[in-house]
Amino acid sequence: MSGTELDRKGSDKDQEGETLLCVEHVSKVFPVKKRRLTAVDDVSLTLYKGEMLGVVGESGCGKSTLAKIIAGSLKATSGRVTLNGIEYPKLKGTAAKNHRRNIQMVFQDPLSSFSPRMKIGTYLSEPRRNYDHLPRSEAWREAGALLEQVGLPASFLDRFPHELSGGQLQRVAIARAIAIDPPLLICDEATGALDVSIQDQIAALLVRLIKERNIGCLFIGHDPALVRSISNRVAVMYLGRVVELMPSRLLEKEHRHPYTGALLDSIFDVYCDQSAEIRLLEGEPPSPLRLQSGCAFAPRCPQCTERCRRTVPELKDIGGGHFVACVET
Amino acid sequence: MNILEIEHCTVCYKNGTPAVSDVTFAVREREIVSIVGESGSGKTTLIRAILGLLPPGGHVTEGKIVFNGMDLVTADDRTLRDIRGRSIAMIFQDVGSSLDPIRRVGIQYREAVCAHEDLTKKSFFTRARDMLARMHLSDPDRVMDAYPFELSGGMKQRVGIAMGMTSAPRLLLADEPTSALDVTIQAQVVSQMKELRDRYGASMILVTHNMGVASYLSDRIGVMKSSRMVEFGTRDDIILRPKDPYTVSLLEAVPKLGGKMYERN
Ligand SMILES: Nc1ncnc2c1ncn2[C@@H]1O[C@H](COP(=O)(O)OP(=O)(O)OP(=O)(O)O)[C@@H](O)[C@H]1O
Ligand SMILES: Nc1ncnc2c1ncn2[C@@H]1O[C@H](COP(=O)(O)OP(=O)(O)OP(=O)(O)O)[C@@H](O)[C@H]1O
Ligand code: SF4
Ligand SMILES: [Mg+2]
Ligand SMILES: [Mg+2]
Repeated sequence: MSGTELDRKGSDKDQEGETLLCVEHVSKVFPVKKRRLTAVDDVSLTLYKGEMLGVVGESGCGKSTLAKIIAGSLKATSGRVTLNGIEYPKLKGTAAKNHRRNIQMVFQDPLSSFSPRMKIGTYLSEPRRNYDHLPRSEAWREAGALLEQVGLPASFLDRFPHELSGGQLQRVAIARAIAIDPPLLICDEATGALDVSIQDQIAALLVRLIKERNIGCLFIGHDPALVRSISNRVAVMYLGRVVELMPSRLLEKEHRHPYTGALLDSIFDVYCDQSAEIRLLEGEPPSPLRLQSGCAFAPRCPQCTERCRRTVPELKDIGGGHFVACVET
Repeated sequence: MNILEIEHCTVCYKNGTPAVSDVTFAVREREIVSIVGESGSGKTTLIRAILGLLPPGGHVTEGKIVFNGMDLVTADDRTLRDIRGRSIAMIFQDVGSSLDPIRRVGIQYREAVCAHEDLTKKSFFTRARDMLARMHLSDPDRVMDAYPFELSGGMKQRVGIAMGMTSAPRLLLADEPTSALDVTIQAQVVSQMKELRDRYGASMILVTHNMGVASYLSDRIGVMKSSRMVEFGTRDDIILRPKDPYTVSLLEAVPKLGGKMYERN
């Protein structure tokens, strides 16, 4: 695939902006007891400035691994990642250190990114002190304002991580990530521990910041309805690969991949009938230790035909910024 | 018949203000009760208090928690230890950080189950593998052999659910058990939780932010805000006829597929 083709992949004409992040044919293989575990398999994506790109997919399909590769905390086995044209994972020394502030990530598991003896105020003022050499008192004051932005009282500055609830910690992690205006923000399940009312406020805050500051944002989430409402485009992943990529407004009615359909069918509606059977995605969950020759979804796909088992379907442009990896479309 | 009765329960941490204020409700045999509500309103504190698993500095300062006719607030450590796991099991909100990062998952799983059940190694592994497969984890053997960092967030969460369900407890306390799961695997886990009740007669308290899951699974629902239970009623009362303005606003905030898109200007 050529560069220009990649640039346009899945973009909506009217929303297309300047390219910020380019992920090209990235794969990640973990050795597990002399076997190969393919967590990310040949993923290519482009993210524009001021754009929110949503990512959904099955638990274990490689979303966090991809996020960590983009954040620079994990090395890809193959492929290239560039930010504003710079292949930053290859940078060394001071250049690498200076580049780090360009990408901030909210990790999936908030507690693990805090050190237990560090006060919330210290944790929140660190980025501004380290990168911008702000004096302690000023950074501390800013940290208080950040807390208020995410709906927490400034009095939490003096608390320790274990003295906060799950959702409070998650908001602290978001506050830290936006403290230094990173050009690229990665949110890995960053709102999963919030009640829907606070989630709504945080979503609105993120969308506003991204627009105002022209930030590019990769937003990984498990609730397709939330991801759709917050992002410009949605990427659907299955077993290490992007299987569908489309403008968010197409998700509900115009999705084409059978796995995307299964995802949407599995949402529990608030006004559901309690006596109805749960709609389950049948079949064995796929194993990243045993990649098959054909489409990974074939064993569970109601539309599967003989052709599907022969070759791995590539992402195909079906027009309108919509891409699908399914031989039957 | 009530299996658990929480009466006028107040819980404080050492910094003073109550995290749970004067909460009263009961769970019947074979009943699923969901607790939904504001982040920071005391849901985790409340269900940890049931098993005496509050973090240091946390105390039940008033009220009773009665299980099977016994007040758990005044029960001694040995009694609580006997009840934990066997009669009442807990799935923690943050499974990832409740696992020891430097020991393999399978060993920790086995310790958790064998703490209250005499099982041979072989019968433990047969049962554990079956539970992991029910959670739709592929490669159960790889999962048991892995260190926690080698598993994804949702895989760890599913291990936690499996650990909590293996001994078929009479009462399961589940704190945000599906928050890290995509919706297809969430549906699978929800169906297993339903089966635990339908087939094994377990009761359950489910803390969740997912209003759809609460609505599907629950017989009754409690809504918490700022340390208080602002509303408690049958599933239909809360979902279809909410009275408290907070419950109404919560139901309105649920993201919907055909719903609003956030403004970009
Ligand atoms: N360090 C590692 N060593 C071995 N395997 C790993 C490692 N990190 C991740 N994996 C495996 O790679 C696969 C993808 O994991 P990843 O965390 O990227 O999934 P995910 O899509 O984020 O899932 P979730 O939605 O559950 O968080 C999983 O099978 C996981 O067990
Ligand atoms: N160890 C602690 N010391 C002091 N305060 C605490 C401690 N743990 C929790 N709190 C506070 O008690 C309140 C209730 O916390 P809890 O964890 O029970 O909330 P929650 O309803 O489970 O929230 P979430 O939905 O965000 O998980 C919060 O305001 C929190 O900051
Ligand atoms: S390629 Fe075939 S098996 Fe794969 S999703 Fe499409 S129809 Fe289903
Ligand atoms: Mg993840
Ligand atoms: Mg909690």
